[in-house]
Amino acid sequence: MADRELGDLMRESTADLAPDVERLVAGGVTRGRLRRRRRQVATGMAGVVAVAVISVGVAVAPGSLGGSERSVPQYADSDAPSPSASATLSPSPSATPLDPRRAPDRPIAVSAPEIPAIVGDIAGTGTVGDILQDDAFQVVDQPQKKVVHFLYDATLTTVTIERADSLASCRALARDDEGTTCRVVDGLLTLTTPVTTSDGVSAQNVWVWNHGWIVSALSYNAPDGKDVDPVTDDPPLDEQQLTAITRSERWFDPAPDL
Amino acid sequence: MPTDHEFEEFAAAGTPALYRHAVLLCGERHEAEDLVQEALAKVYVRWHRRLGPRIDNPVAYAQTTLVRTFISSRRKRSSTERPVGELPERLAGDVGPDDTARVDDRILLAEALGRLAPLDRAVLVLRFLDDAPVGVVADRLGVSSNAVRTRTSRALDKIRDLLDLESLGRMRAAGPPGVES
Repeated sequence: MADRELGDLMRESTADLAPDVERLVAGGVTRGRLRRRRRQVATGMAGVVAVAVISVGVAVAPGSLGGSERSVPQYADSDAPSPSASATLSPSPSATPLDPRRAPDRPIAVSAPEIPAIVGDIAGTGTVGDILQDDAFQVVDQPQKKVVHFLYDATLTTVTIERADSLASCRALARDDEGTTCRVVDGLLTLTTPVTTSDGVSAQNVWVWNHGWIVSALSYNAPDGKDVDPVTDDPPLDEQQLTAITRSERWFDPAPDL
Repeated sequence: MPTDHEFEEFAAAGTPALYRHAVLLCGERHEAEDLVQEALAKVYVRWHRRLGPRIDNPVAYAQTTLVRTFISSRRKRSSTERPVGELPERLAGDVGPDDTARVDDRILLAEALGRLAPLDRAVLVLRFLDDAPVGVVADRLGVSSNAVRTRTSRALDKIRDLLDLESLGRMRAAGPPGVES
């Protein structure tokens, strides 16, 4: 067999392969983000250097971030997926979770800038500070994706809401990061990382699969993930609070009347 | 400062090629998808690293990452894999009913490549899917040029015995566009 024959066979036999590029890229980004977060805390190589964290200790009233109202904003993206007529929108605590990577069955009800105030409401303790927005901390406020970095008790906190059907599975993410656990908690798939500490900076992360979305909350005990002095002993949002935040129904529009 | 948007643009452009490599390496599309995502994740981390130089050639870096991740994963799995006498049909789910010949070729190729050692498989894929020179393949796999030559020769001998040359010739006789015989 000539070398060229093998090359031709390889090219011809794979020429029609049509991968779901969007899904693969989204999955790669999600896994990469998880790896990067872990490294920011666990290694001294690639920490995120604070560029513009100039507002440490200048905490502001929670209401000033998401508008004057503290209630869930009446906001829904116009091109968000329409609610489906699923009959099992509220799985019981013992129920097997719905397909965690299914398409969303409810639109996101909040904009990215409104997220910190809601976190403050749910957590019930602490002070919500400024939203961080620079090259390192970018706010994403798209219909299908929300990312916001802000200060909570003067520490870095990140909340992300992304479609679950375009990202890696809970199990895959747990496999990528030793120490994380993927389990069903009260009917919802939950990915939990332990508190990880390096150079005095600690962080904890909880992800929950709900309504076809992944809600992730990450709390540090410092205003950045690396190369800064911690301001608290532990991340101010503990696992219980992070879980409450990520499990909250306040991120989504109410269930449609069936 | 590299951004997610820049990375996503790069990844979207490069994913189809990475996927083709992954399919030939893994022989199974779900595993190939997992491999691509794993490679993209590693590139993502490197892409956003603030310390150190930017990636000179992201395409080559991604391909190197993919191939090395594949080889590494095969080492980890080698203790649990069991040889099978008849290889299952694979990859047929990627195409429609009109592409029977192409699917047959792909299955044939996947079966043959699947019987090679992972590193030999990677050598052939890099050498012949991309027409990459020996030196480039050596760099991407982290082995010497002599090792690439030796493995290429050995793998070609083996795959020659495994592949049905007549079935290969069928495709060439049909004259795929832009391919000289």
